[in-house]
Amino acid sequence: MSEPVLSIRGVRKYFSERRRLFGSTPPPIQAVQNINLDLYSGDSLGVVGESGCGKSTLARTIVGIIPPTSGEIVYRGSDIASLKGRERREIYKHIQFVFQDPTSSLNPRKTVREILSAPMIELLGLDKREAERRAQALMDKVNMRPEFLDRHPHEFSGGQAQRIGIARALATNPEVLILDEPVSALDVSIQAQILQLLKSLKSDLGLTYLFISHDLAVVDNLCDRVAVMYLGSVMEEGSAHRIFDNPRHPYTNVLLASIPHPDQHETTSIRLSGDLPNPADPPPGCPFQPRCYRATAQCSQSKPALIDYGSGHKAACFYADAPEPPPAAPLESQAVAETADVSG
Amino acid sequence: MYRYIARRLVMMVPVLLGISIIVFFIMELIPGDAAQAILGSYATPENLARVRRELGLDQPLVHRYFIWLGNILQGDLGRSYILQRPVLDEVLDRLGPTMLLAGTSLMLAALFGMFAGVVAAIKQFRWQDGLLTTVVLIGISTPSFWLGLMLTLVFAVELGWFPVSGMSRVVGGGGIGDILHHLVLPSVSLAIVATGVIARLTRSTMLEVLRRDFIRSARAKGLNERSVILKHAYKNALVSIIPVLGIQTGFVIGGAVYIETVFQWPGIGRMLVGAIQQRDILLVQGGVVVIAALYVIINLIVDVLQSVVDPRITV
Amino acid sequence: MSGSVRPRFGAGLRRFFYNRLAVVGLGILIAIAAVSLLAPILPLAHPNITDLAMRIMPPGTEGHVLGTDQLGRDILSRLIWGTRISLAVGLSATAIAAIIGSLIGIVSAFYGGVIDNTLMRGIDMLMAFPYILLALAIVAVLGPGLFNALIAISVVNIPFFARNVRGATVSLVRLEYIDAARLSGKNNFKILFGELLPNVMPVIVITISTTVGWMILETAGLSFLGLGAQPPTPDLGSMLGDGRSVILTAPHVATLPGLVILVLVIGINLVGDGLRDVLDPYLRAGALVSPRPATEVDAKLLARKRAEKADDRRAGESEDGNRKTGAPGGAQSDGGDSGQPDGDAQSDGDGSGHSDGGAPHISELPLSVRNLRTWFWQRDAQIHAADDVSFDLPKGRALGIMGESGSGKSVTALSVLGLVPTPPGRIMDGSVAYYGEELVGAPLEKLRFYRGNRIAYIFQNPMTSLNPLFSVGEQIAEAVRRHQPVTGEEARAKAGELMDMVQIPDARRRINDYPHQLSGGMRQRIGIAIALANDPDVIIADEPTTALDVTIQAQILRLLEDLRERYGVSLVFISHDFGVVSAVCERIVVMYAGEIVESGSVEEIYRRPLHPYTRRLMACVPKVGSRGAEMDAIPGLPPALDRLPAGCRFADRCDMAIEACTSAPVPLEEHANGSPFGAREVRCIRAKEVTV
Repeated sequence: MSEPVLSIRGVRKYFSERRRLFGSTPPPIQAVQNINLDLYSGDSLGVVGESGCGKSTLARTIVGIIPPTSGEIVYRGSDIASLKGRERREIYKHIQFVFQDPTSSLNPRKTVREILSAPMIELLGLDKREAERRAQALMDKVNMRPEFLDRHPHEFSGGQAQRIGIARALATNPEVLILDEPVSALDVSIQAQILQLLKSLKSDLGLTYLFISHDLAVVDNLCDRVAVMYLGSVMEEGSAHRIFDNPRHPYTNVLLASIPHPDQHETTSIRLSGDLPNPADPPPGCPFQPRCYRATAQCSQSKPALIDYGSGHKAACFYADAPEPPPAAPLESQAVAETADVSG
Repeated sequence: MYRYIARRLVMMVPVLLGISIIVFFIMELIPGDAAQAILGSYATPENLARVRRELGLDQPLVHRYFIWLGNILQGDLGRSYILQRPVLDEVLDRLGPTMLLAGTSLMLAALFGMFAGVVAAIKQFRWQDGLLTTVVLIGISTPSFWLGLMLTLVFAVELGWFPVSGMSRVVGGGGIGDILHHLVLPSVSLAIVATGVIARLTRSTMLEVLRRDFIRSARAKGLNERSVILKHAYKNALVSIIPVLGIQTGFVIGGAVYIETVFQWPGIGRMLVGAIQQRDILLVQGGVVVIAALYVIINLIVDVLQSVVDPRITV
Repeated sequence: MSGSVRPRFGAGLRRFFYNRLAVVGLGILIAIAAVSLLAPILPLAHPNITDLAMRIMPPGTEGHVLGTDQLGRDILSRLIWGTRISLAVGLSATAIAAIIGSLIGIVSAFYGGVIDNTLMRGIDMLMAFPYILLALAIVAVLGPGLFNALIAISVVNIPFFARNVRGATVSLVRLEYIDAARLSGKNNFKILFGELLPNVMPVIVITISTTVGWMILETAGLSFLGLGAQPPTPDLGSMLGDGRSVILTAPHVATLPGLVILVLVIGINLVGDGLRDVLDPYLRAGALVSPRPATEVDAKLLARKRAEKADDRRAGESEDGNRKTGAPGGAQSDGGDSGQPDGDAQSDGDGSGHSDGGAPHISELPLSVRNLRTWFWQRDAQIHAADDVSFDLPKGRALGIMGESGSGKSVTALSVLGLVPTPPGRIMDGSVAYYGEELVGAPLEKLRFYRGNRIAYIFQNPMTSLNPLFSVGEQIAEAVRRHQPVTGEEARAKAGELMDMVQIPDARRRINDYPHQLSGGMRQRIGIAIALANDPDVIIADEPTTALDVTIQAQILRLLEDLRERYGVSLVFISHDFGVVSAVCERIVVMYAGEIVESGSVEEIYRRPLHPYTRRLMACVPKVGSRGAEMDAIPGLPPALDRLPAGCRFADRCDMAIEACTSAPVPLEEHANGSPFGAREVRCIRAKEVTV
């Protein structure tokens, strides 16, 4: 296999709270814990997980919006995690970012023309006229009318604004796009339009995607490979069809089972009890262990490593290789499952 | 709760230190030096040298600051060369009347301001709202010292309902009735701006709170408007109002300077004005330090009040 | 750039001039500014020439229109020159404070960390002094004088700008467009002054508008005390101070300058309020209009309802037996408080058996919505938020309303008990009946009786829909006490039971928790507990799981289903997600652009959607396992609800549209006999052509 374009190696991000006057320093929030991921050219890697799993933090550390606490982000062989100033800007030519909220990621006081030409002027060193000429082509790329260049962001619907956000990211002809939940703020029918656009851009321009989402179905639709995150760690990683058709990690199982679907009215044989633990005080052993239907004593003693079970399908579970147990009887009475400890 | 108060008390220390530094260095800015300022321009060189030594003016700046701070902590704010008495005694004598005046005004302002604000909010677009909004606008645009003069002119001079001025001492004189009698015009004049500010804030905050989702939830429970407004909306509005009460306390204490001058009120404000005109720098310094320290304590009380209303506050 | 900004600027200007008071204020300011600017060329006596022979002349004296002061100086002239000085000092002080303060604020917020800490601690120190006291201290040191007063006032006001601007900037710095600018290669300087400053500007202008008034008042105050302008300089404050000594003999000497200050500051404040209305995004969105206790009902509709009711009553008296048995007492009692349906028992038996026995009478339905039309009335537009919406909900059943944002699903739900905010909402037509009892146009007391009692709501965002300042137990108990004659103690106990019922672990302890101490899923359980507090007949859940994660959503959906089965409550469930609706409901109503486009059982709609919109919407929802499949997205956008097309509202996005679709409104027609309750309906003239 060829070298990855982008490698995330041992990245951690801890957010520490301000020290308090009395008592000890509160423990830091461990948003991202020791993540290793490789992104190959032409890949589209989906990172899925629920809120608080650290997926957006991870996306932001990759482009340096927030610096990682430790670890390396390797782009084409060199670590870019600690770059600043001019060198950082050089990287922005190649790695760009699409934000979740299309309205808050566009400055309300700027015209689309200004927003789109800024990266070309600042990063590519184009003059204003040339940048504005190319801005027209960009609009075309995202299927927007060039007349819209003189409008302000508030004049657009969410879907249109997201197209502009994508055009801005494409302005420097980057190689890699980090997409942070780009469709989750949109209505279903608009979401489909944007997903369609992302697909055709990818094949037309030969882009590489790292796609963050909480929506498994969207990820399955767009991505070839998937990493499932929970409480700052990758639980399972592999090709989309393996992850979604034969999940090895109980958490992935639970996520899939939780999606309501008209075909199975009684959706859930497995349901998750309780809430996400406090990321400042993660449980011992496997982070998922307190809520896991397969947890045993071993799970709370040590943290399972992310192990490759063949063909790049990795899972961080002691029982990833063992067959699923038959649905336990107590799940029939929801009282038992629900009253499981949620002290987190 | 106690933990919170303790924490806030400890946090007061750096603030007080900061205040002392600001006051000290402002005083250092005086052209010439403090000895000159204290003794006036007719001082003999020997006296100047003596006072300089006494004040430690021959020491380096930082050193001088610590000497000064040490003196303050022992309650020694120096001697007023005009009044020929310790600054602390003079300031403490004047503190009572100022507190009485400012406290009364603040109470009036808080009560009337919040009442008017709530009424204006729930009667939005009706005549009550229009009337209150107009009155309040005039209130916040009025120079309080001018209002004091006008009130004197109308209610004291023309109608003779209240004394023109001249409360000499708070204690003594004619008892509580007399004090209240003397208090009416000054406290009303002083309260008017703060009332306006609080009323405007209360109105806009109430209107904003009434749009929040939980108000819809309260109505969806079938609660009557009385509990929706007075319980759910008002308590949330208080979260925004209480800090402003703190700021307004500062305004009222400061505004007392004018009102005390207008009404010959024997408080710190009038003392400060006199001291400034007579260049009695130590007296100014003492007054400022004591009031600022007092204001820090008031802000502490405001913070504690805030934490009582808002369970989300934990620092 | 200016060319493209102009339209917004123009709109702002129009809004400003729409505000009559602001225009008055602007007029005052312009007049005062003009007079004081023209002072040197006006035929005025010199303001400082004393004439002891003409001391203290009253207004109207020959040659001295407003009289003279105790040195015989012309008051009019001194007022005009004094205003000039007061304005100049006030504006300069504002400018100095605004520039320095805003710079501190914006830099502090942008860089954060040590810089922020240092700067802000300094500002805190300044703010630790009561406002005027610090100015006095500064004047004490610098010595009295107008210029020193100016410096003092500026310094004292710097903290206000620094605080306000920092506050505004902090929230902006977190916005993603700052990150986006950085990713576009902009350096800190360009971000600070190119991206942030233009957005902070409104806050700076608003702060200026509120402080200019103070500054003029404070400058006048210092001069009044003799610490500002020194004689003979005319300044409004010092004139007032001078006049004080002759207040008894010649009140006009002190009164006039005070009046000028008053009028000037009123003018400034009026303009400031006007500016704030235009610039503050909150106010611009009309944020300071509070909704009424119940949605307004259109006057014509209300009159018609009253007439119908009167007719009804007459008819009811003459032919008593005409009404079906289930009619609860409520139909006769319009007062409302006795509207508690004793009809519960009757409808119990036949609640599930309607589908084969024809449509149930309206009086047997816990909820029946007919031709509901709710519009938003805005200044220049009528938003048709919900148009002609009808559905029935039999006892114990669950109905889903599905649609995208702007489809009118939430407005429909909120209209039931008049919870659509007015302004701008207004119910234009239709009826909502609870066991035959009309709720549209009902008196507020009656609505309140039903709210949370017979019909209860669960809202979308459990964080914002709970009051942050009351414990969750208190908020549940409050709902209990409103509708049941219990003591506080009993209500509290009931709250505990309800929390157990919605499976909140350790409810006894959690009862004293505040909403912020609970997770999103737990908060929504509290929302459900509140809805269950009075054993309602109908629960309306408005996107109750949209704000939640998928695993938590699964928990909540399961809970809702259990509760529904256990307590036989009827449910209206609103969602944008077909999967979620199908997990809970038996029948679905699909809405688009304010209208119902299709209705039927979950099965039917899922297997055989009849309306092109439903079909295409479901086709473009990605599913797990649909790996890489091309999604056939619906092109275009839904129509603007204030400019709806004459015909089918979906026509311009529809691949089946023909000319007939756009020429006339398309009615919602019965397609087949429905099950499980209600007919299979569709609003499409080509629905018959659809094959499986």
